[in-house]
Amino acid sequence: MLLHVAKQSLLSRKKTALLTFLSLLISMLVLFCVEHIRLQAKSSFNRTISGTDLIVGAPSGQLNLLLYSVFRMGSPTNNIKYESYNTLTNSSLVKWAIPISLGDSHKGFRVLGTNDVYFQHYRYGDQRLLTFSSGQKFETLFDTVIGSDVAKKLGYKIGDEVVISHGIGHTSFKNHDKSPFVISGILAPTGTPVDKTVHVSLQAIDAIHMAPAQLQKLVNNPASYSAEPQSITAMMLGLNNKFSTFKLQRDINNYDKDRLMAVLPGVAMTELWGMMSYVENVLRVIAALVLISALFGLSTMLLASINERLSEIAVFRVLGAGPFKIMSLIFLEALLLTFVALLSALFLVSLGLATMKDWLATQFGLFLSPNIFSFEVFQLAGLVLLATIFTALVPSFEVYKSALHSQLSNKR
Amino acid sequence: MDQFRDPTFQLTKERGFRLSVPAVEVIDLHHKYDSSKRSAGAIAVPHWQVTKGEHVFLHGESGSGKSTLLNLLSGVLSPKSGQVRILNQDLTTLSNRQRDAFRAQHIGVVFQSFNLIPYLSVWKNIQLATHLAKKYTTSTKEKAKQLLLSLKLDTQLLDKPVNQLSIGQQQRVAIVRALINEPELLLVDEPTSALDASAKDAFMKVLLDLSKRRNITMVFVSHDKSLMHYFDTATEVSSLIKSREAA
Repeated sequence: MLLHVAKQSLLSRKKTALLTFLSLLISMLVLFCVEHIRLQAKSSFNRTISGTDLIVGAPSGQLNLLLYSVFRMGSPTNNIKYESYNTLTNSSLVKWAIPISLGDSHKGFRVLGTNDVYFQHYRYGDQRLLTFSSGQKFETLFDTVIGSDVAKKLGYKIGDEVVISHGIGHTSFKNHDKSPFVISGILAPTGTPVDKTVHVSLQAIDAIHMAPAQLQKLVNNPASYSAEPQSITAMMLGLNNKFSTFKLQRDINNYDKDRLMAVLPGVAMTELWGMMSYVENVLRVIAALVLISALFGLSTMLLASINERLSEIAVFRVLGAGPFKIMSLIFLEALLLTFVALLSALFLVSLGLATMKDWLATQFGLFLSPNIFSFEVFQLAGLVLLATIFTALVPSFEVYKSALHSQLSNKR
Repeated sequence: MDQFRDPTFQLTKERGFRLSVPAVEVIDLHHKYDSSKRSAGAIAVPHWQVTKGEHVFLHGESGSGKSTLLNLLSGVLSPKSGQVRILNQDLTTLSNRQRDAFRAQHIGVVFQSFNLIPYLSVWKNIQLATHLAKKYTTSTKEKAKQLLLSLKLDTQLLDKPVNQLSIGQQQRVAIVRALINEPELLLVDEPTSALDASAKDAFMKVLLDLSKRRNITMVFVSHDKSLMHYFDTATEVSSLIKSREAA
């Protein structure tokens, strides 16, 4: 009964109720979007790399190593010997080892030198392997495999010839224009930095740093090149047995023939995310402030309506409704409005994500799940209702007071 | 003045049939508003009573304290001292909550205007009254229809929103709403001032007819002396109230 009265009361003040509803809806949309994107960003961040047990590079900070090897950001400090790669590949503990050679770029995209192991064992997300949307992996020395973003941004297709430059700027004085790389494969979108990477073979990385005359000779006869590279930047290891991870890490850190450092990706990722957590907190605070201002709007609407409802309150008193009952009516109105706004916001966010999922993935590489009903979101919804109860206290108490002093009066 | 009864005379007359309990009895009532919020001041009623089934016309100009008296009778206000006995129940001994419940179940009230919640339908207004009095049953709707018919209203009005009704219709629905819980006492405050002359007469006739048939005690408050001839008893508010001083 009281619910029906609250509903009709809101409907009778359509304009103010609608505007309040909209401000609540918008603020909750922001809140839930931020929360959902935050959660998804965290999981998308954590899905950048999976299945790798150790990352090995030259000694520096573990964050630095993680950033340049996994996220392809920043610059590697030093290289490690290719011999170390061979040693670890042959180790009985190691199942597979992916070599990584960084330091060059192509039109702003990082170039990564590697070998076939990369395409066989590099995993992201839920242990997913890389797949080709077209073409295949390296066949000859100058074959190039590009990520989906590179292909889209630069409009490359299989068979296109590209120029790899030394250094990581957009253009460089030392353009390696004598090295005609040919695109042999394009990877399917992954939502990870792989999409923004140009992959070439390790030998090709060495080749582009050769003297021009030497390089010319090689270009004319690619098959003649067989030498192993001198050094690589880092490597990723997959182990036969997870339990040997710490032993191997210690062994690598104490390896005396090369200066190496091994880090656990999970530990480094957690440290990195910890540094980014203040950004997410800023986002949450902003969303919370928007919601609070909307709730104040709700409170203001109810408060402003009290004066025009004094006669209505008198009628309720006459019918035997106590001040508390009249107060709970106002309370119910606030909760009803918030609850409907809450459900609409959840519905709209779900609907928006479901329809824009593909667009977000292709345009921004944002892989958002349309399923927003996580524990955190329910927690947040509970908090919203709790906040509503608090802000509705002000108008409710005001109504309580006027109901207490309300009289059967026909002087209006 | 001669048409008004002297309260002392009324008292002696009432003593004649002491067998029945008076529907309304006010004893040594003193009331004064707390602060300067309202300017009505203080009122004091030494003794006043209304016999069961009696229809009393209470005449008073605005500011004579009649609104305060109605508030005290209905239990919305609690007096500073004295007794307000309704149906042999002293309202002053009840808690706020009990007084609210008592009012819902035993007292019907009709105002000058704004008797109904404007955004609810006629039926929901009636239902709300029974809900708050905890008297809602499945037969309530049938009862409401009967009342509407006896007030010469179309039963189809039930589903209409209140704000689509004419003032005359609204006042009649207010009677339905006031009577739906079968109250023993009806407090009516200037119910006809928003009505034109012909509607006024029709309204008064159905109101008195209904309450007579149902043996409901009625206290009718108005400043309009032309309505006095509908009643068997008329009392001047100023004769009840002993002394009034500004707060």
